[in-house]
Amino acid sequence: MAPEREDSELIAAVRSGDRSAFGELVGRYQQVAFRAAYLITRDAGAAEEAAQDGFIRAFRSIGNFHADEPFRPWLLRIVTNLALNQVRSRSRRRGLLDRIGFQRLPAAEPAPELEVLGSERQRQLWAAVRELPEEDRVVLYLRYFLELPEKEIAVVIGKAQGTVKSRLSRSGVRLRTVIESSYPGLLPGQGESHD
Amino acid sequence: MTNQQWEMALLQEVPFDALFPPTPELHASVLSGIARTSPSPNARWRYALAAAALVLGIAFATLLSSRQARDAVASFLGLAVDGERIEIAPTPLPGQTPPALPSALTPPQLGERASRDEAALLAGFQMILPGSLGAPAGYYAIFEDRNITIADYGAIQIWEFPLNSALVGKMVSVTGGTIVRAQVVNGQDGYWVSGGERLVTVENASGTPIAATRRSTTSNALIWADRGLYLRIEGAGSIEDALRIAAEMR
Repeated sequence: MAPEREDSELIAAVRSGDRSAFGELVGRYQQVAFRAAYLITRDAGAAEEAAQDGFIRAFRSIGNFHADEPFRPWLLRIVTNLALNQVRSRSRRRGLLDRIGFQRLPAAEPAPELEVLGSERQRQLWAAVRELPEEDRVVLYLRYFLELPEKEIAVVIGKAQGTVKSRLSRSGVRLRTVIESSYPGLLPGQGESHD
Repeated sequence: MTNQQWEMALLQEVPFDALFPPTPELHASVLSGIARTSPSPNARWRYALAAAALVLGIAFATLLSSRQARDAVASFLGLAVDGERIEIAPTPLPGQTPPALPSALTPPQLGERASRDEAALLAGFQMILPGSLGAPAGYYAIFEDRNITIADYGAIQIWEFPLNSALVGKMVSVTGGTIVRAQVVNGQDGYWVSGGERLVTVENASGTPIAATRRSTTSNALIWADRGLYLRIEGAGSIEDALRIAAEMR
């Protein structure tokens, strides 16, 4: 079996016209791209569209990509921007509906991920994360859910690494504040045991 | 324990893998999506291409200064009807897989249901509708661009948006078999499109497709523009039926 090619080799091949090399990059990063988009949109169809469009845009823009930089954060930056645009567009639509006193559609179904969280403690924790402002949530997702290093997060959100550090720290403070006010059972030494 | 340590310990309790639906296989759809496109050239080549584009732009502008030439070019590009652009992609060669198309979507999947008055309030115009089809089963407003409104009669849908919104309906035939015929509708230039599966979208003024309008269809469509509106009847069984409906929308 041929050894797996490095990202940089695949990108060089794509630039010289080998589309199948891009297919290898898709196979390598489709899970992280889909998951990043899903964490933001919470809709599998929308996440698939954002991930797919992200790959296509990445292909089109590969000439702008700096070959000495890692590919994954660059791709995720494109995908997360597309996912955030989708969410903002959805939110603008809802805002417009509200402004004209439009009859709201039936209440949204409970978030599907809540059904897979085994314990009440996990559900509360997830709900607390969901209450954080968008920019805090995004760095938390990237750091703890997708396990990206801070350096890569910096590329994804287009900020300096120091900003990532301070944003992670701030999100920790905010998460604790949300938990203290709405889910005190999650605080150390409180409520149910971990299961 | 610092907030960050505490946060990390706490978030490790969430079973991350269980939160995600299965990852869809994107390989085929991405490769078909890039099949007709090329990577952007690097910066050095962009300057050269920009210069070439400038020369072509000047030549094109010179050509369009003649009305006759302008009409011929517009017709060639599928722009003879205000607000509509039709492209015929190359028919796939034998054995070649056509690119994946988006799903066929019904109006409730495309927009938010509204009353006729609410739709008019959002879109800023009253739809022109035929009488003989009765009241539509629903009106749908596409909020990503509030100008687009759909009247849903079940098998038939009528799409409208104002021409001054600079929106453009776009239809791309990608699987072959689509027939586009020039058709005068109520005295206006129009198209009758039938056969073949098509990718249909509406694009905004900058040429960006409005995501909520992107779908595939095999429905027949009669398209024309009148009284400042883009009008499209989708789903009529024949051109005669479509023209009969259109005649009630004068």
